[in-house]
Amino acid sequence: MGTTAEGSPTAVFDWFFEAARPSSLQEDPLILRQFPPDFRDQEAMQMVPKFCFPFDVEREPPSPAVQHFTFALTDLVGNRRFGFCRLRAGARSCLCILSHLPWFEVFYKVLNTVGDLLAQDQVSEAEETLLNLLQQDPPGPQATPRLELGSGAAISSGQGAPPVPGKSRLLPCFVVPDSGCLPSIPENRNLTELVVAVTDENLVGLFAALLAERRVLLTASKLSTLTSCVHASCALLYPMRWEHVLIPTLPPHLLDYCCAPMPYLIGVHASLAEKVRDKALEDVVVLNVDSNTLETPFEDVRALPPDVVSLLRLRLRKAALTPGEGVSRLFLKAQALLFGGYRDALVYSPGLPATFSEESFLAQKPGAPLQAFHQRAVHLQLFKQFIEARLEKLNSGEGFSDEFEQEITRCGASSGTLRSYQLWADNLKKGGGALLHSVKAKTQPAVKNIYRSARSGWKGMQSLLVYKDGDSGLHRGGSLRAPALTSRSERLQQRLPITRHFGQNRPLRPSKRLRLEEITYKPPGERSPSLSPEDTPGLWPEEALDSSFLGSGEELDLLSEILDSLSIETKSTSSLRPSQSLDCCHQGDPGTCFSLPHRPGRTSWQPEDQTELEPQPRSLPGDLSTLHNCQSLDATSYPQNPTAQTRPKANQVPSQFSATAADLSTEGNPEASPAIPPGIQHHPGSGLSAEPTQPSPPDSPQLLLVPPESTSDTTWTSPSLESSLDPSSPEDPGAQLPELLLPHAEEQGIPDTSVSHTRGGPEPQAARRPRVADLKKCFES
Amino acid sequence: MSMEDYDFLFKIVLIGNAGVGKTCLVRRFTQGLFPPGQGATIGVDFMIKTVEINGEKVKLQIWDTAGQERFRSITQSYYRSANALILTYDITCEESFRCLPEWLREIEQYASNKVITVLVGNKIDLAERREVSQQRAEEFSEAQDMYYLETSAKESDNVEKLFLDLACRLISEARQNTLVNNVSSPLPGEGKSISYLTCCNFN
Repeated sequence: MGTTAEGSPTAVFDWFFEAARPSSLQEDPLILRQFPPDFRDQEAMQMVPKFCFPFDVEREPPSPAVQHFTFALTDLVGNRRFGFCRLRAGARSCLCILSHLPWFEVFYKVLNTVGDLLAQDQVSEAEETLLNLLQQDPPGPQATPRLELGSGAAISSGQGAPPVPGKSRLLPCFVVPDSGCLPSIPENRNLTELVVAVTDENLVGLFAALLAERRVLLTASKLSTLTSCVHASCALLYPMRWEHVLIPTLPPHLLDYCCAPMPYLIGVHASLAEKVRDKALEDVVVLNVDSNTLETPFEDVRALPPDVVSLLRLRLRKAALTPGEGVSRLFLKAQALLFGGYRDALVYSPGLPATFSEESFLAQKPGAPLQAFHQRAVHLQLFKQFIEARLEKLNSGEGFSDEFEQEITRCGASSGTLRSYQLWADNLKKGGGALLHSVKAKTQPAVKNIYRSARSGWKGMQSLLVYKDGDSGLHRGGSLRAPALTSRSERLQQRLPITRHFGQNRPLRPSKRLRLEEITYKPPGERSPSLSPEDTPGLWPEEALDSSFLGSGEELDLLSEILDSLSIETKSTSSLRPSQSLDCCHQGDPGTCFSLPHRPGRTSWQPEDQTELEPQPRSLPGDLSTLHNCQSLDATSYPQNPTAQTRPKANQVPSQFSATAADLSTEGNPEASPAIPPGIQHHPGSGLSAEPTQPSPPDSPQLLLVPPESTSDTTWTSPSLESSLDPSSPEDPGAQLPELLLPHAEEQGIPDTSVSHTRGGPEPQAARRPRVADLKKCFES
Repeated sequence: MSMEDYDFLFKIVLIGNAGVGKTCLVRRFTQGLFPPGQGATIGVDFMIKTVEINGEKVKLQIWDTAGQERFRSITQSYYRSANALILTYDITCEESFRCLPEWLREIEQYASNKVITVLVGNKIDLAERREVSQQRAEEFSEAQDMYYLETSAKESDNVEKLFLDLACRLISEARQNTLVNNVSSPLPGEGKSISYLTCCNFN
């Protein structure tokens, strides 16, 4: 969803301010401080602070704890700006950053950092942090922040400006979200809050209402939950966008706007909900997040094809409990099934711009529920805009091989007009050559996959077969593809990532192996053609995920809980590419839902049934001294050590990891793919070094701040590792990498893999229930 | 907006290209009666005007959204809960007139979902720069079964008349609709099925 296309923002943020809570609904909030100090936009100064207190200020403050939430402003031409807020404990005042960039986790973290500094009266330090951020270049022109698919793959740091010599003060480091990734749990805070707060049935209902472009009201008593649910539900529509009015939190002075006759998605704080209800709303879908009730006068779920609904219902519960992209991918699949047929309705006439034939779109699947859905869908703004955007991309030669397209291919929702597209593109190429690269982009993932699969053994072969099948457009006549086959192919495909997941997700990594000193970020926005799960360097973010879980005991707990309830069959994180940024924002803030007051330590880490486990070395993240020791070790010598321990312990692990290493070697070369726009130096290392890998012991927010000159950072930028990850020598690491990875296996991989393999099937519901509660607990701060 | 201070409440949505003076039109109509656009920050704005027609209080809510210019056409979902649409173009701008069919594409396609649509040619104060003749516009609106009016938001010409006529027509539609509703109620939310028996005087 998100902002409308616009020129790239001129700055990372426009305005930071702190506003005091007014004592009555009639008063305006006072601005207590601001940055830059000379900010003089009168209109903004008058209008925006009101959005910082979108609740009935005359009642009890919404929550005694610190809350993060994000409002959205839409200007007269439809450009969107976000206000990232940190409401202080007791809601006495609110810190807010106004920015065009939908970088939720980044700005929450900035707010925490700044808030902590201000709380200690370190005003100049706070300003320095903000100044540093302001001095960063905003993303380039191709980076339209169109999606709130916040996941991170690249890093930014507060150190873009060279540190002042002699100053050893810690400066924070921020990870810029990569909009090319699907939102991932738990890194994407919005999505995580949504799936925790809203049950699967209501999530389907909400999705259906949004897909029908209804007027949708969300109410919740927690602002962070409220706005997260609004933003995340928009993101579920990907690749479509919510094209209508979007007001994540409606301030009290604008309650009348709930009477709008056009589609909207509005969040209203529970303290204002009654007043809104009094306004005689008609035909409005209301989701009360607190009571988890969805009221709708429509039958939007029934209007969706039954197979899509049952897919969502069947998989959602499990996906919501699974870390990674599962939920996003599930909705992506639903979207692919619903709209994927658009591809067959594209008309490529040689020498002419591609067009969309509504007639042939509506003629698909005659008599099927999908056809009825399509008849309504063509009157949706989101569909119209989607088609327009696709055609524009196509005709400008950008191509359109993104996650959505790949999902369509994968689930056979299109009979595959790849061929005609190719011919047309070739034709165009003769004229201008513009489209060639997008054709390449389509074939590239398959090629890569073959290569990798060949090296990853038996499971890889399975997924290779399926993937080839899917990608080469063999599913002619989409309707003939039995659902069973689809799901089987999906399962098979997921095998590979699962292996990788279990093998690698847990281990304690040498932190910050490759931290870049300079800010390099992959611009958010345009989803580039390389985003297939196969050819994205999925490994890097996984690494980052690991360490993100090192951040706090609770996160570790969360992961282990979730992993426990994992079943191979339904796991749908076909690639884990989580954002690396979220950890920072929850760690630092005792008031956020993610951070927990107590650290359960290692015990929480281990799956409940420890009896099944092999004894594991006490090297898990709880043990920070290990972490630090590791870092001080020479990078090359480090791997040897644990390797020696590992081998005798579990024989299956090395093979798994060598397979992974093979992946790594292929994946370590993102620049070979057309994904990375030329000129953007997305060093593979930058993904690896993504910020969460910094040594951030769980208990102190201060530790988020990374010393610019920290030598521990660079320790891990060991020559061998770096060279092995160097895109110019992708084959090189073959020999080394397995060793490099083994330590992780030793540390954490083994127990998990063994558990997962022995258990296999899903856990009984009863066993999982308490975990949901646990998961939920961490949102109730 | 409590229930008791009006007999009818109608929601009217403004659509049209950028720069045709939609906002001015509404501001002129409600001038001094409603504080100007609070909603400029959230991408949607509305004004309220209450008029009296034959002794009945009619409250008009006129809604305008930001950024609709990026839509080539507005789909049904946008206006299905509106009672009327005001489609505006600029008589001094041929381009804004030529875009009208695009804007109307969705509306004409499915008669069952029709809302009352009024075509407004704005900026008649700039008559010397007129690019679209009144006759052309009238022919067009007739073909589309729309009421047509030329206004000047600047000079206040016809603005009052536009909204009064619209209110009048909406009342009659509403009455008609309640009669129709007793026989067969339309699907909830799928737009009121409005019949086109006009009893108001539109000339």
